[in-house]
Amino acid sequence: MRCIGLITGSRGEYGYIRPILRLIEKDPDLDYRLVVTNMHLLPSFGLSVREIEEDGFAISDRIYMALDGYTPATMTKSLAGFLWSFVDVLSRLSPDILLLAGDRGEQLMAAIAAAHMNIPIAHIQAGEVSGHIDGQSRHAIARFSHIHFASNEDAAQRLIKSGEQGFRIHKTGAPQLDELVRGSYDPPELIEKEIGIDLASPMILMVQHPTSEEYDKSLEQIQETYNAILGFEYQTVIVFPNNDAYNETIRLWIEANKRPFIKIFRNLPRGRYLGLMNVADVLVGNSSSGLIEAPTFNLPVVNIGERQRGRAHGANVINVPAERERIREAIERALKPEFLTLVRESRHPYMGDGKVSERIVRVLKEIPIDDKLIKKGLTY
Amino acid sequence: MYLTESIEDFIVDPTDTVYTAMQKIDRNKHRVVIVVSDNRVLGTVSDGDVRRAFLRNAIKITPVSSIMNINCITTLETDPETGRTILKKEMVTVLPVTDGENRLIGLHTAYEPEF
Repeated sequence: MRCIGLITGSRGEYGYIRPILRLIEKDPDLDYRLVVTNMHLLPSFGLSVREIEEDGFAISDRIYMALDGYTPATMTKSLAGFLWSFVDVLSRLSPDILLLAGDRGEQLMAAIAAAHMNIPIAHIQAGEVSGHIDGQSRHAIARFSHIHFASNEDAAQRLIKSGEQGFRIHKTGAPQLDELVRGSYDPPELIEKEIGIDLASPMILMVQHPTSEEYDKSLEQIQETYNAILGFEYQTVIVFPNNDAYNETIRLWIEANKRPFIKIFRNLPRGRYLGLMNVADVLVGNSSSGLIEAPTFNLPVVNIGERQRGRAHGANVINVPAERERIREAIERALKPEFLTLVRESRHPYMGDGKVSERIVRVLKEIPIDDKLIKKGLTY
Repeated sequence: MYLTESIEDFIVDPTDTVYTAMQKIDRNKHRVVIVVSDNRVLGTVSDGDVRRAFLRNAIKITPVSSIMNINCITTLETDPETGRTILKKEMVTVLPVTDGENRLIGLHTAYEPEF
């Protein structure tokens, strides 16, 4: 029996790993150890660990890590706290493979720990680009990883170019698209009832994270977006950002400047968030879901600023700087029927056929754990 | 009833504790307090919100900002009759009245206060 270790710290990567956990659960030759940390354990972010519990997964460990303050310094110190605890958890659980997902800091810390402790690392969403500290973390994780799961050709090529050996790269596709392809998300009627929106009228969905190189400008950037949206007076659902630095400032400002047509959510179960994407008319902000998940829903996206710069995207994305007038124009364009037609006719930039998780699990189950896998070389 | 004065028992600061909110709810007898910062309405905390917070492991000193309902109903209407209609329709006991920029200027209550 092969045991796979997994870590989740936010709703984002839980979406990638849930279908994988389901498959591991069903496989008599595989077992898992799940470590839950960071935002999942914070009441102010909706205590999303309950979603994991409700899904019925066994949680091996909970590591509290987030220091209050949410400045670049407290964020870094929180990561140090996670690493400090995770080393002991990892020695105790001693999985055969540690499966990491995405680009958050705690995933990088886990990579550092596992690499030093000779535990093979597999990484989902390897090789993609995102233009801030998370992007740097993603590529740092790749240097520690023994198995890379790439979601498209672009990502696979970037791994090769950065010196990763070809045999380690598996072009499996993006596992977070599995649930979308299978339609496992809240249906429109449920969204209408639970969120309190009117499906017959236009709806804006806004998700904007602070960007790490521009933390001092984060509030200003959010204000530009928010003010652009206010002008439309359309029903708007705002989903609050991760606990990155300065999120608190942003949340307080939005709450203080709320309008009756705006609804705010701190953290939504993934099925509900996907359900919202399904009924929204435009997604505004800088979430990676605009690039990866939105094309499946033919959802137009106004992508703001630098956070997703350089990442592969489809025709549904309009890139604009964080300027009110440009954002307003882009929303107007995104809401036009001609644009929607264009989006419907375009190709999805990520591979997702509903079987991505199965391919990942097959590799985890069958790959020989030997010297070839464990001893890493770079190709240059 | 529309109130603009003597509403301090209806108002808490986001940094106030759940315990303070409970005390004020107890005093104002309207089952809810409004979370206000810089005169802007951030949310509301009701009896039910407090109960749910305790079921989710909140403690007496948890700040109300982490348990408040940020999607509370507010209105721009100061007319008591319109206020009553909205209170009934939304099934709430207290309805904060704001100006166009989310500043608290008064509140409608469903019940006559028993001061």
